[in-house]
This record gives sequence, C-alpha cells and structure tokens, in this order.
Amino acid sequence: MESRNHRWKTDLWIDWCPGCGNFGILTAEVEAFKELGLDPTKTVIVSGIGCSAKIAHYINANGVHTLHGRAIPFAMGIKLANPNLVVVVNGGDGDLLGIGMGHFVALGRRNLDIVIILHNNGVYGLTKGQASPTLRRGIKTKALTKPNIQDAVNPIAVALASGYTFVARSYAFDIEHLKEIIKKAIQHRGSALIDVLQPCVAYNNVYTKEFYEKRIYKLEETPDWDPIVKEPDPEEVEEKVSKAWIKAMEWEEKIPIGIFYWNPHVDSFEERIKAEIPEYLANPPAIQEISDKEGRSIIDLEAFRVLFSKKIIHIKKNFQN
Amino acid sequence: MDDLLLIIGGPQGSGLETSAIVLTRAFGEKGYNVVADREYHSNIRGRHSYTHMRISVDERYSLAFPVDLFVGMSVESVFTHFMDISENGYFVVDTAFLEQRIDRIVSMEPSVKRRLRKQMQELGVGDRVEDILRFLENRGVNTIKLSYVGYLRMLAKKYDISPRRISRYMSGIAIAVVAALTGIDLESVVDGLRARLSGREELVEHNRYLIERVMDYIQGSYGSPLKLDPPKKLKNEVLVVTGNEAVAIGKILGGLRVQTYYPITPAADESLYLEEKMLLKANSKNLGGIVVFQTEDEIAAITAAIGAALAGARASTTTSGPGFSLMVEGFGWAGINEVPIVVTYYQRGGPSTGMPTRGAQSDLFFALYAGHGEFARIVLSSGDHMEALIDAVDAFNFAERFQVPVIHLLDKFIANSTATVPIPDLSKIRIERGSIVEGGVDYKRFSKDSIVSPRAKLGSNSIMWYTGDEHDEYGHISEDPVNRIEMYEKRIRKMELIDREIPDAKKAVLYGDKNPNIVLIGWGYTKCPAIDAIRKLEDKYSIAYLHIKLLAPLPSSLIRGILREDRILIGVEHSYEVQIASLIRMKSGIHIPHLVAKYTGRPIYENELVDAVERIVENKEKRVVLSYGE
Amino acid sequence: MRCRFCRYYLPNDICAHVGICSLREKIAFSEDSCDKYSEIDIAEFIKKFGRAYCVDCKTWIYEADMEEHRNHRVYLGVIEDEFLFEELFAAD
Repeated sequence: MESRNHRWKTDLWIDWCPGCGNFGILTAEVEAFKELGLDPTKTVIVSGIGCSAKIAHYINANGVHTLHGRAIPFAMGIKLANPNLVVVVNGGDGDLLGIGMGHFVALGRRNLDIVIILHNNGVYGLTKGQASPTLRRGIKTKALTKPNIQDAVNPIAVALASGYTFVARSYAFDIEHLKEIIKKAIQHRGSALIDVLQPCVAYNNVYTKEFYEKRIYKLEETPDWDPIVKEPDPEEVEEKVSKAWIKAMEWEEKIPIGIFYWNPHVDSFEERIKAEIPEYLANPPAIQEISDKEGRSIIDLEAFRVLFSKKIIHIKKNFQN
Repeated sequence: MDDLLLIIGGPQGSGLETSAIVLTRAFGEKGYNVVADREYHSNIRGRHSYTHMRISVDERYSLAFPVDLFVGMSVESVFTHFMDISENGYFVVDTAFLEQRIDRIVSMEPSVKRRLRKQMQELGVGDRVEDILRFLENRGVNTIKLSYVGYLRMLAKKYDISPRRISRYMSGIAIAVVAALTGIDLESVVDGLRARLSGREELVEHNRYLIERVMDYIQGSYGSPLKLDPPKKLKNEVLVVTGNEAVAIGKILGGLRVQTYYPITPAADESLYLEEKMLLKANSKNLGGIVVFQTEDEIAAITAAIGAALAGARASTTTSGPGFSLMVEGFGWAGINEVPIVVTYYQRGGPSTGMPTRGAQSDLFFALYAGHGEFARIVLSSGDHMEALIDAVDAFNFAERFQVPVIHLLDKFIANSTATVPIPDLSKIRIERGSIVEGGVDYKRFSKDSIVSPRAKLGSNSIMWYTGDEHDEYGHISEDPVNRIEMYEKRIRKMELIDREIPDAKKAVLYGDKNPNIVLIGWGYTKCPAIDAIRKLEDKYSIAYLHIKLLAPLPSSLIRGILREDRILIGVEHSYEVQIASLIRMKSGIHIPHLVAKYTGRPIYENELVDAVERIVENKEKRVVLSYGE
Repeated sequence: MRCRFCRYYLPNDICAHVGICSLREKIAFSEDSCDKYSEIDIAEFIKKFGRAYCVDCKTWIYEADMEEHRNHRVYLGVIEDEFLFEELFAAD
C-alpha cells in the first residue's frame, strides 16, 4: 500500500483528556512511521488495557487491542507467525510492569524484534488513579487517600536485567526526541524498550509537565556518553550495562532521557528459529501453503512415510514361530 | 488364545517404558492389535508404575482384569498386583524378592499399605513375597522365579556393561519373559529393540544376548503357554503411537504452523514430539516449517497462539485443566474476535493440581462454558487414537471455516497409552480454510453481510482492528445497543450454522445393535471400554453404545432419535456427576436414569463395565461407582 | 568381604545388587569380593561427607539418623541411571 499519502491517524474522536501525554506519544509514533516509510498494512500496533491501549484505534494501521498485561504475548505470536511484520506494543506501566511483568521479562530473554512503548504515568488512569508499579513510595497523588506504601520498579533496570538490547527513555511532550527514538527502536533488530514519561493530568499531580521539564536532560548531550556496544565483547557489554544501570537510578534531582543501552550484536529470536528452519524468513508460517490444489494436505503418503518412519511398522506375515 | 492381558510393574525410571514400546512393536510387527496403558505417579523416579497391555487377534480398545501374565520388576509391584492375576496365569518375580516384606517398602503410600495388609490378613497370607507366591500357587497360578542379577552377571561376563545403564537391561529381562511365554520370536523383539535403541547398536547387541538367554530358559522350562492364535485381518503396515503422538501427527497433516505450549502433564509430550518435527522435510521436498514455542506461562501460550492465528497461521496450544483455567480470559478474547484457534485439552484428575498423571473426564462443563459472557465455540472429543488423529485435522478445519475457537477434548488415558493404529487414508483428508481474502480498501473484518465474515490475515493488503471490547464492523470499540445486538447475534448464531453443516458422522456414532434395548451413552475414552463391553454382552442383550463426538453444539435431534424412553439408558463417564447425562438432560430434556461413574483416575476396565451393566439391567441399580485398579 | 559391605561399592538406584566399584571404576555385584575390600564405616562417612545413603529406606541419612539405620544397607551414595529421561512421561 502506498504510504506516502497515507493518513496515519484514523477519524475516530480521541477520548483522552485534553492535557494527556498520550497525544504526544500518538503524534511522535505516527510521525516516526511516516518518516520511515512504513507500509501500514504490514504494521501492527498491539496494545493492552487502559487509556494508553486505545492508541491502537487511533492509528491507521492494523490494531490489536488485547487484554490487561498480555499485549506482549499477543505481539510475540503475531511476530512469530509472520516475522516480516513491524510489530509495536503500546502499553501502560500497570499493564506491562504489574500484571504483565512475566511477559515483559520473557521478551528480553528472547530478543524478539518488537518495540515496546511504555506509557509511564505512575497511575492506573482508567480505573480512577491507583498507584501503579512505577509510583514511588511516599508519593500521594490526588486520587490516593494515603501516600503510596509500595516501592517502585525501575523499567530501565528491569529491561537491562532481562536482556533487552535497546533500552531508552523519552518524554511525551518532546515529540521530536520521542520520534527519533522510536525510529531507531524500530530499525533495531531485537527487543526494544522505550520508557516514555507521560504526565497524567487527571490523576498524577506530582509527576507533572512542570516536574519533568525542570529535571529532564538528554544523554546524547552528555559528554562521553556512549551507549552503543561496538563489538560482541562480554566486557564491553558489562561495562555499558553497568553505566546504563547507574543512569537509570537518577531521578529526584535530574532525570536522563535518551538511549541508555544499545547492543546490536545479539541474535534475535527469529534468527534462532531460522537456524532450525532455514526458510523461516523467506516463507513464514503465516503464509506457507498447507494444502495442494485439490485441497488435500501438503503431506502426501510418500512424505508421511518419511516423516513418521520411526512410528510405522511393516507387518511380517510369515507365521512360523 | 485370542486375547492376552499382561502387566509389567516396577519403579518409574527402571525401564518399563522401553519394555512396553519394544513389546508393542514386536507384537505389532506380527499383525496383532495392541493397546498399552501406562499408570504412573506424579514423580520422576522410584514410585510404583506399571504398563498394562492387551494384545489381541482382532480389534480391542480397552484394558481388563484379571491379567494372564504379570512380570514384577520390584517388590512393591508384587504386593500391588498379586490380586490381579487370573487362575492359571503366570506370575514372574526375581528370586531376590522372596524374603522381602511389605512393611519395608518405603515408596508405597501408607494408606495403600494398610489396605493391602488388611486384605492379606483376611486371606491368611503372610508378609513376604514368598508367602504371596505360595498363596497364588494354591490358587492355580503358575509362579516363575528368575534371578535377574544372575542374568546381569552372565551379561557382564560377556560384555563390558556400564553400571549406569542397568535400566537398559532390566527392560530386556521383562521383554524376554513376555516374548518367551507368548511365543514371539527373537527377531521380532530385536526389530523393536533396534527401533527403540536406535543409534546404539552396542545396547541392541547386549540386549539380544541377554534376551536370548532368558528366552531359552523360559521356553525350555515352560514352553509358550500364552501363545496367541494368528491375527485376523492382516494389514501391511501399522502406526505404533501414543495418543499425544497421534494428535501431533494429525496436526501436522492438518497444516499446523505455530504451536505454543507451557509444559504440563499429560499434554507436554505432544509438543515435545512436534519439536522434533519443526522442519518438515521428506527426502528432498521442503514442505514447510512449524514454529513450536515454549512460553513463560499458559496465559502467554493462548495469547501467542491467538496472535499467530490473526497473522494467518494455523495455530494451536496444548494443555490440561490447570493450564486451561489460566487460559480462560484469552479464550474469551478469541471468542469475541472470532479467532480460529485450537486448544488441545487433555483432561486429568482434578480439581486444582488433582492427580496430574491420572485420567478423568470431569472438565466437560468447564470446556463448554469457560469464559464470561456468551459466544460460539466448538468442543469436539476423540474416543481413541485413530479418532484423535483425524479429529486434530477437523479441529483446524472447523476453526477456520466457522471462525470460532475450538477445544479438542481428550484425556490422559488416550494421551499416554500406546496403540497400534491403522495408517490414515490420506485421500479422505481435506484442508478447508473457509473464506480467506486479501481485504483491500475499507476492509471490514467483522462485516455483517454474513455470519462468517471473509477473513484477511494481518499483513495482507488491508488494515483491520481487533479489540476485546464489543466492536463495529471495522473492529473499533462500540457501545451502540443496536450494533451490540447485531454483533452478539452474528457470533452466537454460528452455533446453528455449525450444527447444520457438520456431518452426522462427526457428531455422534451408534455402535452395536441398531435397534437396541439398552443404550450406553458416553464420549471420549469411554468409547474403548464401551465398545469392548457391548461386544462381550451382545449375545445376552440387545445393546448399543452411543458415542458423542461433538459436545458443542450438542446434536440434540440426533440424540433424541436414539435415546428413546422405552430403552434402558445408561450414562458412562470418568467423573462423579457423569456430566454427559446432565448435559443431555439440559439440552434435550431426555432423562438418563442410570449412571456408571469412575473417578479414581484409572480407566474404566472392560470387565467392570460389563459387570456394571448387568447390575443395572438385572438388579435395577441406578448408580454404579467403579473403582478397580491401582 | 563382599562388595555389599565394602566402602568402594556404590549401588545402582534401580537394583542395589549391581553397582560400581569406585576404586576400579568398573561394574560390581554385591556378592562379589576382592582383595581391595575395605569395610564401610558409616560414622566416618558421615563425618567426612555430611551424609550417606540408605538403600533400604531410599533416603539420605545424617548424623542424627545413624542409630535408626544401623543394620541397613548404607553407602556413600547411589549411581543414577543415565537413561532415566527416556523412561518417563511428563509427570506434573
């Protein structure tokens, strides 16, 4: 499908709050798709449940709006069946780091070529503002009756520990910055996490636009910041992961955004499958022929005998025991 | 002799599986019909397990007691099975067992031990194996005592055998005993060995030597008193597979391209077999590749299978009760989004962790109604290995033709038992994918123009949406009440379409007398003991078995024609409630007054079902609960 | 003097009458004997290795258990069969 004249947003009225950070994410995301020249029929947005998840309906590409916490395994299934599709997951922090944490970590172990855009707003918006896994202890946002008594998880740190090979953070209202990170993440061959700091005007009156804009600084403007692993060398990897980890811990005084860690040398899950099934990328499972012209199975009697030879017994008919 | 029953008992991990497979192949090679069940504990090694085999000259499907031959590879198996041997049967033990006592068996559960000791006391039998043997001899049983270690020694004198491979030789002793007493020739046994120990010629040679010596001794001293008559109806070739493997083969024939799974008993072995077959290569022909994906949990298993189906691959996931409990939310998403996926569901003893290695049929209602809300689904079930293979193809065809999630309901009895199965007639197998289109501009995935909308794959020349919310024709969220009625009805009314289009033969089959006085009703594995039981009773009664394959939508009108009030109706199921009777009552109003239930986790045996039918017909009993078998 | 009382004998888990002579690294039978025989001293084993294996009870025993397992067949350990995994179905 011709993508240059393609309108990347659908006509549906967007029902987010006017000041919501999601508008920024939506704009940056579709701009990234446009600039990369992606084919919308070959692009799939997979979302979970929550305000962020509705983004699947607002982008004019294939959208799969799934279940709370489960966007990642749906995305993995789609990608495994057709590795030539561009698959992007949009999910909230509660969705991906609470109920969905098992899948979040599992994706890192596999390094499947999927981009995770984490809408990190510290609250469960659609269900009235409960603390999410990224809200720190002691914070009392306006919807909470008491300050939060649970410590927060750090998405950058969890991604690093799980094996993600592209780990970055951006900010919902710096559209140019977010767009560029999304483009790089899509081009990276492997699991990519983009932790997007997203103000929630309805419920999070602590981590606001003002809070972030006072503290944010860009890693790429930091002298000597080099997150890219140059060689598949375990020592360099260890060094860069450690540095990324330390940066990830910064929060109260200043908050870094940009690319924390990028290792292009780890083989993707798709490549590991290709080692088993050489034609995997050229002829993916989703489009393989499974029957002949008459509608019979592509496995004919001759092929059956070869494939299952270990289970077939030829009966010896002479009966003198 | 046209029908032989045997048990080989021993601790898990000691070589029983090898014995069962080699013997099944040896008998199969001679044209016999074989079914071999495995009973085992939820344990890796050490606890008691046994293989229960039936070898016959024509078709038999179930197992029965008493057995004609018992080979004990452990003291525990001797005490566990001494009541299972028939008069004139053969009971074989190791001489090293003779002095051993029942109270010293640490791997036997205390309650089982108490129960057995009580039984032994009532029979006046002492505590030791040699007391058991004397008791049996007084009843006409032929006991054979061999020195297993003596044979191992003989083997060690000739070959340099490793002490880490004793299981490979113990299995040989058991095989040799069975082969000798049943008159199977050494070459057939060696063929079976070679297949099982493929690539390890050394082990084959060792076993050949060992087996030959044991066979010479046994045949020299006892002959072959359990020799079977020649088989009826000889075929040229036959498959020897477990139920798990039969389903895997069916799926491969049916065009499976993505299988997801989380390991669980008794389902995992199907996926492990598929992992060996990922690359479908036959000679020089490349027929494709199956992605077999082990997920982090069952929730990922079902959701990834759904994702793969959305992209256009024939996708399935394989699980059991505890796993399906986790999958229910995902299953509902597939329901509202009309996704063609197959869930292969092997039932095991429940509830909760239940009895992981034992079978049951107690998840019928769960499979029929799991998932909040109402939506169309197909539930079909298989009664034996051959059905399981063919049904695996049908499951995919139905899923894609009607765009509904399909549950293929099976159980541990079929999954873990090995059987000789005819090679399927491939000319009769068809792949039917329903309406698959490219889509194009303004594509409506859920077009209301027809109950089953033309389906485009993600990545074809169109854009589409899917959501767990109620949606419009494009797949966008909609709360409009008029759209709600139209979409809800579109989905649910598929059940009527499915009922019209699936042929009767795939819905229910009547076996036995076509105008019966007594009708047994069942589904799944029940077919096996039922068919054997009605054959046993056909001279005495006018009796039939109604085997129900399609459970959702239930073929009520078909059933109504057969379950007439003037007939004696008996529901049979491996459950407490006999849910099939409740289901039939609910859907068609027909009351099934007699029930045969078994919920110990062991299969219903031919002899106990025959007995139950007689009790119901002669003594008018209403509910018979079966419990034979360890 | 037989292997079954010798400190070098490790029985096979499936059949305790067969095992390995850890001194010669060869198969041994419990009723065999040879001149390298050296009697098992359970207390010494447990002091040195922390535990020993009782074949009769199919369990490991520790210092406190020694009295209870006097007269049982106790060894330094058992040898496990290499091909165990081929004999099993998934069990959970």
